[in-house]
Amino acid sequence: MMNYSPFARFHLYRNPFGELTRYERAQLAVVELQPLIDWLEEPASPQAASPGRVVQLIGPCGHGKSTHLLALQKVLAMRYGEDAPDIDSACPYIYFPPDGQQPPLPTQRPLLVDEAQRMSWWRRRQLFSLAGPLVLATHVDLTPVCQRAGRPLLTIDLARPRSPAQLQAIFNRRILASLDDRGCNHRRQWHPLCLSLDQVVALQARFGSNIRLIEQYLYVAFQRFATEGQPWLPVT
Amino acid sequence: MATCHLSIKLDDEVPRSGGAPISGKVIVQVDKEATCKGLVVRTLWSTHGRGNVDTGQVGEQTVFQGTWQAGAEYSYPFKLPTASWPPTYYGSFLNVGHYVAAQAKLSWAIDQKAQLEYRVVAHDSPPDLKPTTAPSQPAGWIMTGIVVACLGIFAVLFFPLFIMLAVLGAPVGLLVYLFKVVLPKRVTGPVTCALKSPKVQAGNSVEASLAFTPAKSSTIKGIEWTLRCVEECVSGSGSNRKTHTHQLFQQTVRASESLQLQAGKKQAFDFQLPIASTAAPSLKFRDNKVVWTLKCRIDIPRWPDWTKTLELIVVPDPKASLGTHAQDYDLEESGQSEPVATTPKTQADDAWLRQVLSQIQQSQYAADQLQLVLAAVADFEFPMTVAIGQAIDSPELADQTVLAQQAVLAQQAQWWSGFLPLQNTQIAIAWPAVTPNRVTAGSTWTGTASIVGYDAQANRILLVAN
Repeated sequence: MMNYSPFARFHLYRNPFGELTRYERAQLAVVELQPLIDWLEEPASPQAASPGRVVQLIGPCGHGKSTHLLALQKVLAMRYGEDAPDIDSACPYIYFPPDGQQPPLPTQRPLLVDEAQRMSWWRRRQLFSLAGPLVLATHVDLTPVCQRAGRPLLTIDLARPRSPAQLQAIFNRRILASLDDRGCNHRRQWHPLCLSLDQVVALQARFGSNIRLIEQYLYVAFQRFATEGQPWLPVT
Repeated sequence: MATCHLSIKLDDEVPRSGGAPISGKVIVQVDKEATCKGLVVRTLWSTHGRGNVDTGQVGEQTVFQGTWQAGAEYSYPFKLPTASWPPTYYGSFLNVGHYVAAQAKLSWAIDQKAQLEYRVVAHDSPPDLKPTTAPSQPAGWIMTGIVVACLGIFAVLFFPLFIMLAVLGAPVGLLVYLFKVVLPKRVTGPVTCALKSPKVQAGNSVEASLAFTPAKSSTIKGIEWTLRCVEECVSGSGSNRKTHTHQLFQQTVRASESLQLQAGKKQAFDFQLPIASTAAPSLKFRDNKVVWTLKCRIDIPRWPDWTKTLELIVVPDPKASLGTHAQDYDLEESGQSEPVATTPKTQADDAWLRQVLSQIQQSQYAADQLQLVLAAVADFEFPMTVAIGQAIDSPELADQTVLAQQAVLAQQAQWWSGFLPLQNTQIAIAWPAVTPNRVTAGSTWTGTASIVGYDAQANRILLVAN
């Protein structure tokens, strides 16, 4: 028995609401990707040959832009990069930092660009100079930029409220992904700490759809529950 | 259905130290014939908590390649090295776990995985606190070179801006230096403040000394030392980068009250404070760390105070090196008969049982949901205290109001009604073989039990003692 771990009694090996690796974020993402993939892969009409379609994911911090990109990377890499040595070669993901030198743009397509609003004029020009599907995550609407480049664009507004069921799936999936390997397989479907819809509605009333804020709240609540015996999800 | 199921069994659960190897076996239960491109077993450590995940692989062994037959069970022994640093640690924002992980790479199927945690204790820490098997990253001097080169290029490209920044920044720096260093020293004179040893083992005392010779006579309001330990974890990157700080420990000791200083007369103060044997060790990863500091402050009235912060390294006590929150969970393993602080553990056990009982009660009118809940909690063991009622007949599964596994109900010799006073819940409880002698009507029993069903007619939870 792992008596030294405060999480072992729940058959968990960690606080489920802590930071995840990039790989895990992609694995656990609860996002609807099919419409985006369909849009990216729709053949260009013969009347107006398109150099490549663009999906724009727009929303403030904490609403799942990067998670969408990472989940898309996994799917697109499998579709486009059969011969590539790794996921980043098959479908590169580029992050533009707030300061410092801007990263070079790979020529590989599809290409995923995080914080695309930070791209310099020169980088944007480079980005649209090569044909192929693009997915941009941005805080600022880049519709005019895409229109000038003649790219058909699909904008997904991630700031819109998420359904309680979707948020419930996001957080419960994280609990199930933190189970240790003891015990029965039934717990892979449910765990006594899984959030009910009522609890998620209460969280949403307090934090909106900001997943990062909810995660931070749940991390502290779980830590207090596991180590201090505070009730799990007290008044939210 | 998965092609196969992996589980890991260790030969022993003795904590590892000094990189001692760990051995065990990977057990593979095969549901349908499968070609395994490699059954790989690894030892690794990983942080988890509020900060970005730092991880490092220690050892790797491919124990099998080939075909598994349907319905068969295979066992593959392994022996792998472990990391001597970092030790297993459970804190608030930062945790460090060591794992044996097995992965079966399957052709035309999803890879199957299993992971089992083991404990690592450390007798000493490396001087730089770097993990013994660190994730690959550029060496420090390379990064420093890159930063210096970038600054150089920036300075050349934006020379006027660079000059402007220097012109604006210099007075600010000078002011800070004036207030933090020059002005306090006009009262205290030159000050020597140092740790006796920068490394302290948990369970021992941190020792430091302070000495100064005032240049002129004056009065100070006092001298104090503050020993502090914090977890600092960084999450995200770029503009989403955020530092989370959690204070694990802080204690302030006054070395002197108000004091009249005489010009030229040396003042000397020693500091000594024991650090608990269960104290968190100093840890340092790329995005996560546990930092111990000792701050000395000379409180000068109507004048900037003299302060100095010294960083020390706390080396774990191998007998109790599991961090602050973990101490309660170590007692059973360390063989101590008298728990030092059981309250948080008991409260946490109680909160956990309450949570499970409330989930069962909430789903009592939805048979499908209740079955799901009962199945999900079947393999948990809950510590509890039961007020024993009367011997009762076995709950009958034929009764539509009783939900449980038939075999479980049939195996029990005698059932007793009971009550969980802490959780205010009615129960029925049985013992797997023979009821212990101490269990009689009206007695109190304390132990661990598993939840095996729910009797809706009698509105009580069915438990089997472990």
